[in-house]
Amino acid sequence: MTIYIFDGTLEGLLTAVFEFYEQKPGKIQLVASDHFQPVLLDETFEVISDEAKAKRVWTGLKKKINTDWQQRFYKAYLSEDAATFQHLFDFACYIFDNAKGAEQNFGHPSVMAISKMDRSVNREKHRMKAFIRFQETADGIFYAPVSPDFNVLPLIIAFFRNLYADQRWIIYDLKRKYGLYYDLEKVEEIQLDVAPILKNNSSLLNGSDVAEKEGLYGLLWNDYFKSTNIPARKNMKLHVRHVPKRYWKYLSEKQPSKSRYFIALVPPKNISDAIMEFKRDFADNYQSSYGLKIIPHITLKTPFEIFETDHQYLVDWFGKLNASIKPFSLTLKNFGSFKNRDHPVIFIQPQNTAALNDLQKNIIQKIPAAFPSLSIESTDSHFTPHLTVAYRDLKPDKYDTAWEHYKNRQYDAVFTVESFCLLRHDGVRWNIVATKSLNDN
Amino acid sequence: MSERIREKLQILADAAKYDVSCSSSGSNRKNTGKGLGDASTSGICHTYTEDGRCVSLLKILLTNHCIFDCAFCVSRKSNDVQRAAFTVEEVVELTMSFYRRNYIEGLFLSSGIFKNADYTMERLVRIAKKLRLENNFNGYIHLKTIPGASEELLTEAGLYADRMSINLEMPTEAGLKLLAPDKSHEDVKKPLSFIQNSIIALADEKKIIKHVPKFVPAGQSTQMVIGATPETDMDIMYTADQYYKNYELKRVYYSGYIPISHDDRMPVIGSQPPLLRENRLYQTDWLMRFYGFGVQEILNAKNPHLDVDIDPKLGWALRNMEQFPVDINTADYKMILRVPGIGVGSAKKIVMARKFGRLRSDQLQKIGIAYNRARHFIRCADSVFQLNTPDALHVKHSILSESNSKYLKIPQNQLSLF
Repeated sequence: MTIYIFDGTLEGLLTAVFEFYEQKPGKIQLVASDHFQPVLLDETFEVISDEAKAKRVWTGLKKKINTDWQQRFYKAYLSEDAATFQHLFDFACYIFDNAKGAEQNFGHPSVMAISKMDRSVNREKHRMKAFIRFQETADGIFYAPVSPDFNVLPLIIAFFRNLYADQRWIIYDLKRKYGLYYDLEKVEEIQLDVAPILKNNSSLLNGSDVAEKEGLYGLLWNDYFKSTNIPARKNMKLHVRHVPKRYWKYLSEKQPSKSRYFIALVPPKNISDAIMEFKRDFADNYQSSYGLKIIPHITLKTPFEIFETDHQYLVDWFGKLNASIKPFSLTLKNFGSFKNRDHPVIFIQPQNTAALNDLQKNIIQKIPAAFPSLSIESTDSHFTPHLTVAYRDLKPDKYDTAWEHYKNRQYDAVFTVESFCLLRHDGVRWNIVATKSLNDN
Repeated sequence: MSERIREKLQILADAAKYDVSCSSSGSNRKNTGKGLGDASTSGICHTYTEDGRCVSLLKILLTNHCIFDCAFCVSRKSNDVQRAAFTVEEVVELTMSFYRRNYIEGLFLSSGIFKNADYTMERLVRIAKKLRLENNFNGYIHLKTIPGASEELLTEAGLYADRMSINLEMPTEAGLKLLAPDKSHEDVKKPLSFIQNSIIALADEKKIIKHVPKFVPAGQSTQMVIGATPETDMDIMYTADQYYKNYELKRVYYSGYIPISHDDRMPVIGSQPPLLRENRLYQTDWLMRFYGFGVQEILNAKNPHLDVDIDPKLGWALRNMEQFPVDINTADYKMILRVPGIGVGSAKKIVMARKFGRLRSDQLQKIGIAYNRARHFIRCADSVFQLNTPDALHVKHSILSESNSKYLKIPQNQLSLF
């Protein structure tokens, strides 16, 4: 048997068919050069791709099979699959050797094999249409890295051009190292020197590369994905059948999600209840109800995000945290305010805060060793202790009237600080997930 | 702002999830003038939730405030749940930014009824209109028809929506009256037929005038809740059949009731939703729509319930053994389609392939039929001659012993309900 070696291109494959009818060598085996392993017994022939020869074969095929089958032939070729190359060769010969209509013979092995491979390639093409996720980069280009099983990018050009006619986008095949770029006029093939890689976490691009609101939309989408699920109907087998695990890397909703936490000092119940009354006053009289959603607290570490999978690690770390401070007494006296232009804040003022400052400093200092990637905000390193009663939705004009009243209002309370808390946001509100006593150390 | 929008999305997506319609197919809206989106005729599922249902559209309620108190509904007035409402702008922005990232095919917008039907419908229409006219959005929009909304509003909605739907809720009028005394099937029939007639009128106009506006190009659909009230499978499918025929619906959805209330008229909280029954109903629906079966062939006074252990196509075949075996090489396409284990794709391939010579069993297997199931009902080139027709019970046991249905592991408590 003769082995035909071709270069793996469609042109090469069609040239091989041409050469076969020129040489009539009997039965042949078709192998792409990158799959070829030299053998002793068989004769080999290297097919040199030739545009003219390939075109003659393709024109011949076009006369015998309709456009549906021409596309099937092309799509099966895009599978880059060794056995399929052989089937395509055999199929072409079968079509040439028989009367018109032979492609309908699903009893023929190559007809069936191509028809099956066409379905697989189509499925992969369809999955790209479904699973590609764009992220808006800082310069306004929507970017999507992919690594499809088959070389399906040529099949989705028209689809995405029509879909996103009014935004610039890049779809980049990381496996085959080329991509499509649409510049609002046309789609062209591009090769990036440094293609951003597909990282296995919730953000596919580096934080600094993405548009400002990208993070929020990612969060909203993940929220939506969770909320629209009906737990009573849980069926993971079906889920995985529809979204095979190898595609999860594209899907932000399938990435381990992050939770928000912060560390704070929470006053005892009798004092909290009294402070809630102030918060209610703001809701009733100054149209600022945000404060009601959270228990009274003094923030020690501003909110931060970690992966949900690291939750236990965080709780364990928190439980062992040695703040080196003994229980101390804290005084709350009267009100203070941050007169920020857009988001003013009114708070209760802690007094004689030396011990509180030490506690805060000691906690902050211990964070980098355990969580190197967490950022320490400037408000963490320059601590201004305050116990907020109104913020966020406090409008500047309401702030003015409220502050006029609160700046002279009296409030006094003293309590012993015996512990501090770790709080987690569950998507709707903050909950205490761990409490650390100062007596432990 | 971001916290509040997250909270709203969580509440209003959660409240909308019991509407099972997910399809984004059947529209032919094209992207014109370099806008955003192009409704894909075949529809695309962008992801699947952990319950295995597809996510194709951003499915949300505009608000879950509602003046009605329907016992089966999670947003009913008397239910103690968090309430929220989106603004028109919020829905538009969410839809646009999700669509730009290829998360979704479009928007499925429903709503609790606040103030009155027209007020609610007007808000829904305003969102669709803004998306289409101000944002040049050509993705898929599925709007809920609010029962009792004026014909003017329905006409306007139809100009911007790809699909409209209105839910029957319960399969029979009696069932509906039991759980939602304020509602009736008449309220559903009226808008269904109004929109259907508008579609037909425009199609007629199109024969004379070249450019007529698109009007609900993907047609109408409805949904019935299954297992909240004691209807038989026959009641359910006869209703479905009637609505398919009378209102040319594109889809009827069957939603297994998930207990959400302590109302003693319905299954208690915590009982398994009737997933198997739902599956069998969908199979029947498919047989009616794609396999040429009449509903009375599958369900009738003698068989008012679908089989639990076998699918309805096999069930029909076993009840009609005299029609088998079917000779693959000579039988009519319609009859081949009725063989258990042969689907539409395989049936078409068989009819094409047999022109080239009599088909053997090995070729049939390659073509992709479920041979172990089908072999009891067919003859092909290499079949051994059999003297007597096989016994239905015997065939059933033989098939069941080879298959391992996922449902046999699920407690089948839904049967004991009625």
